[in-house]
Amino acid sequence: MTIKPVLLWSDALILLLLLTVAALVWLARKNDTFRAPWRQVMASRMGSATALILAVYAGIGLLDSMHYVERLPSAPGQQAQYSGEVFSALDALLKPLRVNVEKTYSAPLATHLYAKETVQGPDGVERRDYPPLKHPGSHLLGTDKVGQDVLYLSLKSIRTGLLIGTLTTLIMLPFALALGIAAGYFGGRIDDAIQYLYTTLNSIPGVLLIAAAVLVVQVQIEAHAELFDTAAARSDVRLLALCAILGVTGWTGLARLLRAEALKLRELEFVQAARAFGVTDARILLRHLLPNVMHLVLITVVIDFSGLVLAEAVLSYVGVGVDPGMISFGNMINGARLELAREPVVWWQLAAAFVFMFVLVLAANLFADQVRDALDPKSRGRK
Amino acid sequence: MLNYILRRLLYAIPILLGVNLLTFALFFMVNTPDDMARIHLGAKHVTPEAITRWKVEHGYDKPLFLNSAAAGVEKATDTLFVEKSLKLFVLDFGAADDGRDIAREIGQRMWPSLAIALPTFLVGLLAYLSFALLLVFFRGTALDTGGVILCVALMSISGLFYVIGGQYLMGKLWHWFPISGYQPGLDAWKFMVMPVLVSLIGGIGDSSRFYRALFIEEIGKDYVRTARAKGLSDLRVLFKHVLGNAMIPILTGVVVVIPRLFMGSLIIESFFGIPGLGSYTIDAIQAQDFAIVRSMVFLGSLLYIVGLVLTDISYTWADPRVRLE
Amino acid sequence: MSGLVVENLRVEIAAGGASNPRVLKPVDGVSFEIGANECVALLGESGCGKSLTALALMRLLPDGGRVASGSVRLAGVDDPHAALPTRQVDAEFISAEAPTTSLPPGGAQLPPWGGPAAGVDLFALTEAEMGEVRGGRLAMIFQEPQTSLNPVMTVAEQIDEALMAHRGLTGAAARAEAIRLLEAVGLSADKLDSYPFQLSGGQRQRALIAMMLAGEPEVLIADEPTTALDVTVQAQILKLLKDLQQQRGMSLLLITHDLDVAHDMADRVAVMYAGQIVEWAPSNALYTSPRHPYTQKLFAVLPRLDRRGERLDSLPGRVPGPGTDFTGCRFADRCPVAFERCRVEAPAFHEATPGHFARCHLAEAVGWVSQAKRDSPEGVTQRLGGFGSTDVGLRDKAAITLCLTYPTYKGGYVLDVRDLAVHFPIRKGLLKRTIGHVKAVDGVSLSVKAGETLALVGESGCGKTTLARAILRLIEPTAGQVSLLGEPLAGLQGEALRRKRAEMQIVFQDPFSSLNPRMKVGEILAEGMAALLSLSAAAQRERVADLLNQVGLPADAIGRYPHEFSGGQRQRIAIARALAVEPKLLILDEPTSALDVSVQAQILNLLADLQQKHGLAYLFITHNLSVVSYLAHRVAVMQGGKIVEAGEAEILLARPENAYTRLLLDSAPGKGR
Repeated sequence: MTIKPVLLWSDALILLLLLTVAALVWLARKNDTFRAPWRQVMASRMGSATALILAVYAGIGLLDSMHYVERLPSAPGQQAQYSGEVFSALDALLKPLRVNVEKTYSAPLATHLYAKETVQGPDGVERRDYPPLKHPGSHLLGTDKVGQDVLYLSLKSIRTGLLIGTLTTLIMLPFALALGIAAGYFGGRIDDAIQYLYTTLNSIPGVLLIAAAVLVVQVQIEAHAELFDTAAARSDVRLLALCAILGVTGWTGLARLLRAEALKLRELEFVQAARAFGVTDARILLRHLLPNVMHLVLITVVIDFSGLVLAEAVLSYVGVGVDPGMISFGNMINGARLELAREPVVWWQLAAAFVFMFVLVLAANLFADQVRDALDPKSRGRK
Repeated sequence: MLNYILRRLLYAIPILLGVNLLTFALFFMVNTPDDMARIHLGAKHVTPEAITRWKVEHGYDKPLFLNSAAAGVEKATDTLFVEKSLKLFVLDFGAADDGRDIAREIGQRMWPSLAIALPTFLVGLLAYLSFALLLVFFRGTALDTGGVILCVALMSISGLFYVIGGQYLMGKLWHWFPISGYQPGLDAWKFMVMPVLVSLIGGIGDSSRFYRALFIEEIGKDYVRTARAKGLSDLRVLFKHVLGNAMIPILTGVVVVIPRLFMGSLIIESFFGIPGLGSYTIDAIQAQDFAIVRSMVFLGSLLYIVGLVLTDISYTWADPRVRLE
Repeated sequence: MSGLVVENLRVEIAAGGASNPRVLKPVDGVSFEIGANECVALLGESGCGKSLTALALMRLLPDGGRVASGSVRLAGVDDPHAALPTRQVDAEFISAEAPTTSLPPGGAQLPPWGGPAAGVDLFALTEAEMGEVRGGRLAMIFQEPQTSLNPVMTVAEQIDEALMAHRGLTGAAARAEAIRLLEAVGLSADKLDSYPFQLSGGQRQRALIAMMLAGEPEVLIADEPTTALDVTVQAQILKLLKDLQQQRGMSLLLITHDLDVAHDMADRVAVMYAGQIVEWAPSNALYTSPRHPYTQKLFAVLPRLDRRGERLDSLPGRVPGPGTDFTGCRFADRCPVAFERCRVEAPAFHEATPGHFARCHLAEAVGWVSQAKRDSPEGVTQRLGGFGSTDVGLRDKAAITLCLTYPTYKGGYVLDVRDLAVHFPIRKGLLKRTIGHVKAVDGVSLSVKAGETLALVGESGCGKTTLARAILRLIEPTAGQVSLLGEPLAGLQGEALRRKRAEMQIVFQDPFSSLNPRMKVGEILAEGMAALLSLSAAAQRERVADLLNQVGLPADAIGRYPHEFSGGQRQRIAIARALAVEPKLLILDEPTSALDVSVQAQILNLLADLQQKHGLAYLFITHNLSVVSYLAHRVAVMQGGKIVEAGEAEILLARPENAYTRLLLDSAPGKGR
């Protein structure tokens, strides 16, 4: 079958993120002051174990970010037609899980559906019974309301969670770095203006600001539906918009931290010495301030990551998260929570979302602890 | 002091104005009233006449900033910005899309919100601080290590699971409390216990770990060594010296949220069916009722600024070095 | 009778984390004793383990540290049979209150580590029992008055705690006692309800002492109690400690790095090096004839008035870290008189003369006096009288240096400052109106010639650092004029100002914050050149190599980061950085006050060499009067933003006219030497 690769906006940003990280690693490869903390993280059992877990998640997310569309069978000579459905490398790998759909709920590894239906027995008599599954025993974690494999859904949710955790940071960083350091280093009116900006943003309740912005984006997407040729492209843009909103509203915390640090650094002797040489402000910011706040940035990034993964679930519940059609932990929980009222309980969908999310966030939190211990001399001995 | 509060409140005006402009830009300029009408009318009924009618009914038929049709001062005042945004400054919130008065709704709904949020806040503060102090007292022992691991595990669980798990266990399985709902008066407690309990458990990981880190940082300071060199007991050092000094960073995070307790929690109220401001907001978001969302944004900002002023005032009590001038 | 006996104390610190566990031994077999009413000084450079020794006695070691072996015994009134053999007391130290009767005739002197084990072993107590001893019979005061007091409790509350814990006093009785304690440390009763932030550094240190006296201690440990204080305040606090010790018959253990302070205060001195006591002697004996080569070196590297124009002796290398495994003598690698045996066999503690012990093979032969002859005895006689000793030891070498011809500039001065003022506005009220000014620098005039060192002396807050920054135009002066090489700086902007910056550079006090930790040494040195000189890349590299050579650093330093260097080496890098743009004026802002004396000597030598070679003008900002007396050609004394006295160094130090200058000179420790 012929396929055509598709680069969604989020894929492009992931690529950009990977290239940036690779470039940074390459630049710092011989620099011991940068490498030593990471070596310390990886040398600890906790650090290497959590890094491994995160790497597995990241691998799944990356596989899920290589998108393509399939060519529809068409008459020869006709222009190639492609399906409107976008798949990823992960979908290709998990094809059995994806296509083996049941009618509705089924418990993990069950052979029959969850609910009784009127079935026709071999003798032709109709009775109420649990109909057999089309693919009995093949659903390790059961199936959901429309019969999709829960394991497949869980694995697909990973990319969404990771994207929110990383792209938001990517969008937030330039704001936080530029505004935070500028406020601290220049002081005066620039400081006043930036402080005003972040106090104003901070004063608005977070969820409400995000909700307001997402509602606006939603209306705009609906108003310009013609711009998106596939459903995937539409939910992708909505996801990016969510990241952008989270980023634009979320830079204040780091900016405040960086402002305080820049305020301290600008009085330090090495900055004074540079000024005594008449070194330009731009160069001082780039050579003296930026490298000396990078540890704070890294610590914040890893700590924020887990918070953002958790935030996705809550926002999706409120109705201002990712597109309802997109597979995500939030949407999985949302779809499953009402089923707890049923008898017997449909627990597997919630349990799967819980475990997959818990492992990711716990690994991220523990990894963040290790990174902070390695990078922040002040936190040493706190554990 | 009075002088200081006055100055802070003056400083609040540009911030609230900024919030106002921001929400106005989002709701009226990026999204035009026409867009809004289209959504509320539904795809089938969109005709230019229907849109105009909807706008007139809901008061969205005026120009944004300058009404050239009006006369005199009204050129500037008879506009959407003044009607919909600036009136918020006098707490005139206007009517929701369903025609009900928002200010009255707020007045009614803040009490159930407060009934949940206030106990959660007070008991939570006490419980988290005590737990953190316990860990710190046994720092370096297995109890401390285990406690920290528990905290990290607890904070790695999405808040939604606490609610769902709580409702399932305490409501459905054990039948301790009604799963959701609210009733004013003396019977309210039955409906309050579970939301409060669930919020408390949901917050313990994050907060206790944070407080523990604060305490550990204080313990590393020189004055603690002095206190121990005086021969004071560990308990006294912890409660009198460490806690006293840690109050300053603790207050920073705690006092600022007090005024906002009125606004309740979106998730908790919505899950437990509490008719408070949280569920009011979430319903408005889901119904895309921008008038309510705008009002809540403004109210939230206003209460935040009040919280900041309260925080500063609380410093004067916790930290003798702070004089508000 | 009371006292303290420390035997064979070892402290271990776990380091390196779980993956690479190591054990550091910062204190490795320390024994000494303090008799009743005696002051013992534990003297040593940074990292020798003296502070950890003190904390171990209090059982207040930081996390990760533990006492590996040893005992600490407090002999006290409770144990009548545990009275310690007492030291030989110098007549001058027997005050009226001192219980002289208990002294055995002639003062029997037992080896400190071999005495009868008497009293309570503090390491055997439970934590609760230790709580009673801590702050009770054994108390301790600390270095940093800024941070050692609880900022949110009043002085009264903090004293009351100790009174309650150790003497059960509460209410009015406690208050009366607290007032009595404050008065004993020279604070008025109205300070009782003050918070620490309302007190000055000296007052805080007094309050801390009052808190520690509340438990009526028999032994008081003072860990660098005056290091963070100005010299005039230091003199007051030291006097207070001495008086209190004598009035109360306390034992005082003074931890210090300052030879002069130890000399002024102590009856006996223990010199520590790399976790061990290397010399232990009555103060007089130690200062007249030091036995251990390390002690001798410490004396030799001190800058002093009588060494003007001489190169200071130097002590190569650095103190071995607490993780080192030793086979022979710990000092062997740096010792000028080390021989074969020193490298293979750790020396025992030898009693050179009665009561005078040295951990050195050479001290085995009784009566051995080595290098000490060359340096100390004469040195001491010359130094008697201190700064006041006008004509003693004044050399003409400084004058000879000045006779070298340097290019002269318009007006003859490299730097000429006229009526410079820096005022910071104080804003207050609703609209932040300016209601007044802090006059940090208030009309200062001074000038420096090529090849000349002008020392700017003053205490903290006198405006000397602000003045330096204003001269460099790092902050804009409010009024006045600064001329460099005869050309006024005022009004210079942009490119013209930048070019002028090449002619003046600064070296800062703190060798740790003055170098960007994220830049390689090569980049640090090239930064100024890139900004101010137009050199080709090759010329730049060559110049960097040349600079490193000039300041005595290896060529491979270029590719390394600052954290790989010691404090002294960092200061060399900072000096090289300043020299990189070929300045005519170097402002040295306390360049040696963060360094140990042995390192200080190296830096001072380097500065002298560079000045001779390049004809540099130095504006040397310092509070250290012995450094001033050693190197300054002229001195300006600053107080409250103004210069109160200025003149030729020899004359000004010998015959100060201003009252404040006199106070400064009188406060300097070591006057009695």
